[in-house]
Amino acid sequence: MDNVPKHVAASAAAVAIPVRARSAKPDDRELVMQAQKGVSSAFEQLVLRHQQRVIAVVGGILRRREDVEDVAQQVFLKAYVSIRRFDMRSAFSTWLYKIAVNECWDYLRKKKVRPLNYESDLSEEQARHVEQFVSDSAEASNPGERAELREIVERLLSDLAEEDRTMLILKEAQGFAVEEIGKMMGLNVNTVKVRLFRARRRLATNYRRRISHSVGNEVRKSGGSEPR
Amino acid sequence: MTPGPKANRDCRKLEPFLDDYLQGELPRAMTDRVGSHLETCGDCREALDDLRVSSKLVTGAFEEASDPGAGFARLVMARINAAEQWVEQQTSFWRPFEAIAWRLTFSAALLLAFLFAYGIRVNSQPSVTSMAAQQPDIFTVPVSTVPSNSDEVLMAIAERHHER
Repeated sequence: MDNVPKHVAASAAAVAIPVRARSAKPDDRELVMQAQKGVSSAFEQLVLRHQQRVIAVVGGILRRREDVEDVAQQVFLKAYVSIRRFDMRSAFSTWLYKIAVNECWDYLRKKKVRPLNYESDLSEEQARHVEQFVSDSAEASNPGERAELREIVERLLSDLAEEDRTMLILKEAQGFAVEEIGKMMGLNVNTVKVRLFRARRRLATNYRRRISHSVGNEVRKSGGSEPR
Repeated sequence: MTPGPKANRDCRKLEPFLDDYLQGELPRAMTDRVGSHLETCGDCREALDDLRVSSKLVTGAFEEASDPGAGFARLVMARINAAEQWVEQQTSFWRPFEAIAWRLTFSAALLLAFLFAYGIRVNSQPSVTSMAAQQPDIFTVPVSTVPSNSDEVLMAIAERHHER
């Protein structure tokens, strides 16, 4: 075996993976070990297995959708480069999501993206729309409706800390468990719970304040009360 | 009605469970406990409503990420291959220079070793002056301090008288 060239040995191992996959799906640990030996097909399987969740993490942090896929690819590239250093002390997914979170913060720092700060109130139509959505049991069905709602919610989230916003989206929209969020962001589970609780109350307070402000403005306009 | 100190204590204790209560993920006994507290505590009812509103807003505004399919994985692998090829190209470009640099380094080390050895050898050889100093002077007759015969005794006495 010593006389076999490295690339031939690697491709032989690469062939072995799909054969094994037919009988029993190899777990992450096995695939990681193969990838650490340089078998690229094993890494490809890891990408296929985790791509949706990585995109969920990146999409939860970045605001521009067109950046999400690019940054997610960069995350996998970084994971590939440093997979030999992964010591299996944590789950591969946790390690990967941590890379994703750090990559997103780096991206935001490099691009100098400041949290959006919306000072203006919601329009009457927007206020009515969001109020109806909250009181209704139905979900936003069409993409246009969702996009409009997203713009409004981004306004309501604008005065939350970036980390709190991320936690809230990862928990509520992407369905990550509190424990997973804690590991990703390097925070204690109780800290995540407390911060999530406060962030959610703050979001609701912002919502009520903006709605009442918009309604108040409308009443003033229709009542014809003149400013002194 | 202002909640008393006991109610406040209960609120702080039950706050972390409100989210699970909302999701219906609490065990029966805990659900009953939170439920009975909520009947008497307006603040916690408000907090629960805040959780419900925020949950509804976020889940409605941000859609769950969908699986991008095998195309994404292929793109990732293509990017990895491109990066590896680039690294390979970079190393193959520098390889001839690397070989030359190694040869130069080896030659320089050899030369240094040779010069060092030569220097040690030259230093260890005695110089002409020190050799001359070590050789006995054949033109001067060594004078012993103790006279060996009667003539030398007489000459020594004569010299002493002369010095006086």
